[in-house]
Formats: sequence, C-alpha cells, structure tokens
Amino acid sequence: MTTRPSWRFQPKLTAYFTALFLLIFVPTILTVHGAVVGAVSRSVERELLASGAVFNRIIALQASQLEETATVLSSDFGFRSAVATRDVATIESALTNIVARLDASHGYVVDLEGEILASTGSVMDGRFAFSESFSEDAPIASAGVLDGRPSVLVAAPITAPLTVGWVVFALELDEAATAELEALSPIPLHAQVLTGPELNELSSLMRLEQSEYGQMLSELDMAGTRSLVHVEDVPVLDGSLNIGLVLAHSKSVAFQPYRQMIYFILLLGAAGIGLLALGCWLVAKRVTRPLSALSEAVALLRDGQRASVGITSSDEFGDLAAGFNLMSEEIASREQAITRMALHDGETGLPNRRALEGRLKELCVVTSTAKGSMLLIGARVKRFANVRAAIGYALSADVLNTVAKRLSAETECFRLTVDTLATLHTLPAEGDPSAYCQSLHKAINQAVAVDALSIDMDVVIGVVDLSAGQFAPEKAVQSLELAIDLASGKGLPVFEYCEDRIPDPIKTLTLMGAMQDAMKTGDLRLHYQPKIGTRSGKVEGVEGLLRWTHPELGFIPPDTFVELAEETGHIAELTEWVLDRALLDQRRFAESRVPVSMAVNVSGRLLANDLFASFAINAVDRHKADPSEIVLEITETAVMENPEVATRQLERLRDAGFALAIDDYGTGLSSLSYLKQLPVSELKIDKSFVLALASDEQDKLLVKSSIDLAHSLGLKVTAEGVEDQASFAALQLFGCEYAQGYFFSKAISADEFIEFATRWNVESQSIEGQQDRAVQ
Amino acid sequence: MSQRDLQFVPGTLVVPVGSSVSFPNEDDTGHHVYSFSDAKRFDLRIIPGGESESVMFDQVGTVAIGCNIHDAMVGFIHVVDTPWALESDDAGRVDWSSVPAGNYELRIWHERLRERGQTLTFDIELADDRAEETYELNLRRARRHGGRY
Repeated sequence: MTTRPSWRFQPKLTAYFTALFLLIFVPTILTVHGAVVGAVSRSVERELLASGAVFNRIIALQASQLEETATVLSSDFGFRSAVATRDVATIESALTNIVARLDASHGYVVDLEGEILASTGSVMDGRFAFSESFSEDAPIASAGVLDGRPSVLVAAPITAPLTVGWVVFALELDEAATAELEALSPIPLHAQVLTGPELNELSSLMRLEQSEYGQMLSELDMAGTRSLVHVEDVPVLDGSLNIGLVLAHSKSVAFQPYRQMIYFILLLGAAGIGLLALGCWLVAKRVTRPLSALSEAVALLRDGQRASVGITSSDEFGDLAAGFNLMSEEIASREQAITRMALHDGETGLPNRRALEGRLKELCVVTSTAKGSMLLIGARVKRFANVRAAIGYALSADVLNTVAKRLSAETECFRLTVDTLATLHTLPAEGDPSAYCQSLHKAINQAVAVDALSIDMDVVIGVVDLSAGQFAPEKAVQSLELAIDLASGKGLPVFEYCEDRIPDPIKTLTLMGAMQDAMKTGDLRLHYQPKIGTRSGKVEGVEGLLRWTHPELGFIPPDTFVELAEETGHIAELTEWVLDRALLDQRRFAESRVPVSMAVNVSGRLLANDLFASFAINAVDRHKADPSEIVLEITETAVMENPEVATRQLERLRDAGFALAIDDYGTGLSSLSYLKQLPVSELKIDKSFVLALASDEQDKLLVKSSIDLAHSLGLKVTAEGVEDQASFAALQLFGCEYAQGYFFSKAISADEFIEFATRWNVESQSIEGQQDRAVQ
Repeated sequence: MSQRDLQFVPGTLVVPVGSSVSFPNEDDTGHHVYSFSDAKRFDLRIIPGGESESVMFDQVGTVAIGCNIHDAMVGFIHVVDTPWALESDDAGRVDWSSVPAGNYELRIWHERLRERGQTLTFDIELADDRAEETYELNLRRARRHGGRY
C-alpha cells in the first residue's frame, strides 16, 4: 500500500472531468468559430460582390459618358469629312481635343479593316487589336486590354453615310479608378485591376486554395496582408484579354469584431477548465481523505494493531468508517477469543502448554537475574484415563482443577497434556527442591472429593530446575515431561531432571529404531541357556536371552537396550517378539527330540499393563503351545511397583496355565511372606549368591535356607550362575530342582542348543561323561 | 433623287455616266445632302419647299449619299457605263432575258452585302437558252434605324 493513495484517484478524476469539459467545449468553440467564419465570409462576400458590381457600374457610367462624346464626334460633319478625306492632321487634332476634354487616355480612328487612321500618340501601331468586335451600326462601350493596359473602351461608327470606320476612346483603369471604388466601399478594401499573366496566376492560386469561405472568396496574402479575396470579372470585348477586379479585404479587419468574442469564449473556457480542475481536485481530495484514513487504518489492522478511523460525517464515508471501526473491534475481540482458545485448555480453563512456553520465554531473561531457583514442576495424575472414563469429562476436569490448586495455590497452573499439569515455582536460595517436591507430592496425593465421590490420587512429579542451566522454553517442557515419565517409569514419586540421569533421547530413539530393524534383519536374536535338572542330569528347560549384535556398534548389552525399550515404550513390542520367537523355537526343540520348558523374562513395565496377559494367552493359543511349559520370569521389583495390576495379571496368567517364576530372587527387598501371596510356582536364586557357593559358607547357608523356604511354600527352585562342579553338587545336595550357568553352557543359539542338548542328554547317561564334560 | 419624309426617293438610282441628277426637297425641313464617295464628292445645302439642285455624275462608281442633318437618310447612285444594269424586285429576282448571249462580268451590288464596296463580281457566259441562276448573298443585318434599298 502506498503512503500517498491520493496521488491516484485525484488526478484521475480531475483529468476525467477536464477531458469531459473539453469534449463539450472544443466542439462548441469550433462551432462558434465556424459560425463566425461563415458569417464573416458571407458578409465580406456580400460586400466584395457589391463592390465588384459597383465597379462595373462605374465602368459602364464612364463608358456611356465616353460613348456619348464619341457618338457626337463621329456624327460631326467636319470630322466625317476629315475621315472621308483621310485628313489625318484634322482627325488627330479633333481626337486630342476630345481626349483632353474627357480626361480619357487615348483616342483613335480605325477604319473598317482595323487599320488605325489616326491616334493621340498611339500606344499601338497599324492595326487596332480587336476592331472585329466593333459594330458598324451602333457604338459599343466595354472594357478591354489595350497594349496590356486594362481600359474602358468606346467605339462609335463613323458613317459617311455608310460606316467607314470607328472613332475609339480608351480610358485606362488605373489606380485612380480603383481609388474611387475603394472610397465608395462600406468596408475597407484594396482594389486592383489585373489582366494577363498576373490575373491568370491569381486565378490559379485561388483555384488551388480550397477555401473555407465559399466559392467566391479565397484567403490569400495580398500586399503583405492576409486577406479575403474576391475577383470580379469585368466584361471585355471579344478578342481582349480578360480583366479581373481583385478586391481584397483584410482578414484581421474582417474578424476584428468577432475576435474579441472568440477570445472571450476561450478565456471563459480556460477559466472553466481551471475551475473544474480545481473543483475536481478538491472533491477528489474530500473523497480520498477519508479513504486515505481508512487505508491507513486497514494497514494498521493488517499489521495486527487496533485501528479506528475518526470519520463522523453522515455520508457513505461515515457509514464505511463506522462499519470499519465495528469490524476492527470485532476482529480484536475475536482475536482475543482465539488467542485465549489457543492458549487455554477448554476443558479446565487452565492455560495450556503453549501458554507455558510463552511464559517461559518471558522468564528467560528474568531467571538469570533472579535469586534462588526457578522450578518447573509437573504433576501427572496416573490412570487419569480410567478416572475420566469412570466419572466423565466434567468431573474429571474438576479433579484436575483441584490438583492444580494443590500444585500451585498462588501461581498459575498449566495443563500440559491430558493428565499432566505444570507450574512455575520460585524457591528461595536456601530451599531444597527435592524436599519441596516431596512435600508437594504428599499434598497432592490426597484423595479428591468431587460430586460426593472420593477419588484416590496417584500422582508423580517431575521437576526441572530452570536455574541449573539454560533452557529453551520447548526444551524445558520436554525435559519436564521426561522427568515425569522417568518418575513414573521408575516408580518414584518425584524425579528431578538432571542431564546426567537422562538418556539422550535422540540417541535412544535411534537405538530403538535400530532395534526394530534388528528384529526383522536377524541382528536381534534369542539365545538359550540350558537349565539342567539336578535329579535327571538332563536338559529340562531353557531361559531365552536376547543377544543383539549391531552392525556398527557391535554387541549391545541386553540391559542397555531392554531398559531403553522399557523407558521408551518399546518393551511390549520387544516382549512380543521374544515370546513369538521362543514359542517357535520351543516347538523346534521338541521336534528335535529335546523338549524343554521355555523361560522368558517379562518386564515389570508390562505387568503394569492389563494387556500383557491377554497377549501372552493369545500367543500360546496361536502357537498351540502348552502354557505349563512356558515359564514367565518376573522380578520382585516389577511386582512391587504396581502390585494390584501385577497380581491381577499374574493370577490371570496362572489361571491360563502359565508357570510363573520370580527372577533374581535375593536382590530385592521383598519378604517371602509377600511372595507367598503371588501365584508363582518357581523361584530363581540370583547368581550373586551362587557364583561363590562352593567356597562361601554364608552363601551356602543363604541358598540352602532359601531353597528350604521355597520348598515349604511349594515352589520349585532354580539356581543361576552355576560355574563349577562343587556348586552344582551343593545344589544337588540342597534339593534345588534346576541348575543354570556357565558350568553347563552359556546362552547359545537355537541350532547350537539342539546340538548341545542332544549330546548332553546322551552323555548324561554316564555320570563320568557328565563329570568329564563339567570339568572342561 | 428627291427627299421625301426624311428619305431619299428612290433609295437606289442607276444612271449612265455623264448623267445629271437633281435632288428636289419635298419635305418641310432643310436637307444637307452630301457624298464623300470617290466617284463623286459633293455637298448640297437644300432649303425646304420644292427647291432642287442638280449634280453631274461623270465618273463610273457607286456614290453613297447621306444627309448631314438626318443620319438615317442614305441613298445610292450607281454611275454605270454598261447598258445591262438591272434592279431586282423585292424578292431579289432579276430578269436578264434581255441581255444577249456572250461573255460578261457580272457585278451584284447590295447595300448590305459583306463585300468591299458591297459588290460581288463573277465572270459569266450567257447562252441563248440561259437557265435561271441563284446567287447566295451574304448580307449584314439591317441598320437599327431602318432604311431601305
């Protein structure tokens, strides 16, 4: 948008109307001019034609005067006698006498043959030029050109008594004649008598000049003056050159009376154009001023600013301005609503994640100068989906609002995700974030009363100390969520974010992606460690163990990627893959005549999810396997994290026929009395108690008592980490059912296992062979 | 050749050379009869009332006679030396049966003939059994103020 919009409409309107005016004015002035030219030329033509007629009349008068005298002379007896007797001297004296009296130019006596008998100092010699035109019967009077001089001529026959010749008088049409005419004319004119080449030249000039003044007038330069010219034919005798009377009237004089009028009209037109242009300019300005104001306001509005125009006129512009102002206000209020919607959660009315990020952005500068530490604290209501499903959206929103109030009584509380709330808390310099959060957790983790219901709260808290490092707002929120995830994953009430404690999420994701690929490519394999029955000495079972050789990173310890899978939610997928693989291989082992029970480790994370039991049952059905030959190994801690769900799942699995084993027994804190409540059938003693069993008496005692206790609870026992004959012997002595360890074999591939088990079972027929083997 | 009612009567007169012609004035006005013709020049002032003057024509030729007082009065006297001079009737017919056969010079004169001296000249041979001949005459128009042969 230009800053000077008035530069466009204003000149356009002005030019338009000026052009319109000219469109009317120019034809008008042309019409007036045409009318003036017509009137002037008609009037001049009339005057010039009249003058021409007058001139011819003057000539006729002069001629008749001459004729009279010539007739008198020709009738004079003495003159006739002189002519008859060719008395030239007498004739000439008579002619001279008459010429002088008449003020004529010349006198002649011409005989019938045209011979000049006598003259008054003739301009011609011999024959008279056009005597053929003379009449023998009567005098003639006309004009003619004598020796190049236009003249009035009179020829009277001389009868004696028959015509013997003519007496001729000539009166030259000189300036005196035209001067008389000029004096007689009512309009000032310049008269000139022309003949011969001069006349012809003028006539052709006039023919060439296509005159706008009609047939009789032409516009020519006469004597240096632009003039309106008319040529009057003067009647001449046959045989004479033509004579023209050229009448010229000065054009400027002719137009003098009209020029003023034309000038006045032109002046009027110019003034009209000026006024019109000025008027248009002002009107356009009046129009464009409010438009400019509107345009500027629109520009402001477009840039997101509030804009209004102060036009209060009651015309269309006023309406437009009022409309615009209304629109501007509505846009502003709508914008406010949209902003509110964008930054608030509709359900609870709490500001949302974006609002938190905005707040963090604002704080970015402030925190660096603030004393003490700024904590970003997040609380997640566990199983919120269940709560919401039970009590509905409205009440669950009330629950969240209550939690929000507990989380931050004074400051603002944000809803990050469906079940996660967050707040910012400034802790004094001497405060301990951990202690504060623990107390906060206690406060929040109270049952919430809504609509006469009391709902138990299970909340985990994550903390990010914003003062600890430079956090981008997004990073801070992300870190908070990670902290909450970790708290939840590790079963801790509070988890404080700390760079060192957090696996690099990017690396993790990459590794998990690679793990998924590895499932397909075969880089991820399930190896099997044999379980030897202490009574039979044969291979009675296997424990499936994951082995992953990454094409670039090499061997990746199971603990690393299993933990990652647990934290990133890939554990279910991994366990499913393991279960499938194990069931396939179990069938293969059976087909290879080494039927074994198959032990598979189940992540504690999976026990917290009701879905696992269903999946495991489905898998067994799908593979048509015997669940009693499947041992699901779980850790004590996995059960303790979420005892209710875990117990429920374990019971389902037991009811479905699965054998359940407690793995890594002895590392946890659980008591046997607690284990008694679990529907397990087997106990696996952690290898840390078994490795030095042969030498360590205390371990022996612990292992023996554990085995005894287990037996007393009806559980079978497997000892892991058996690495020597002595330990194996001890375990046999203690009545331990199964032994597992490097003494027999490390975890090996399915093919290797089939080979191993086949050989072992054959060899175990002899104790010696078995012992030889074990010694190796 | 008398002057009667401001006219010469007769208007045309043929006379043999050496004849004398009298000019009696029968009008009440005077006449000034003159001739500038080469054949005979004269100038007679004739008082009114029967007075007559005679002029002797001793030279062959046509003599145009006018009156200086009355320009309209024109008369012609042809002075001839031939016996064969004939005047036509009003229809322009001439009976030349009396003229004997032989070779002649024929001269036709008319007052208004467009020829020098108002005379046409032919060489003709007249036989005894002569036929009627027609001659076209190119005449000027009659004078304004009338006049006659």
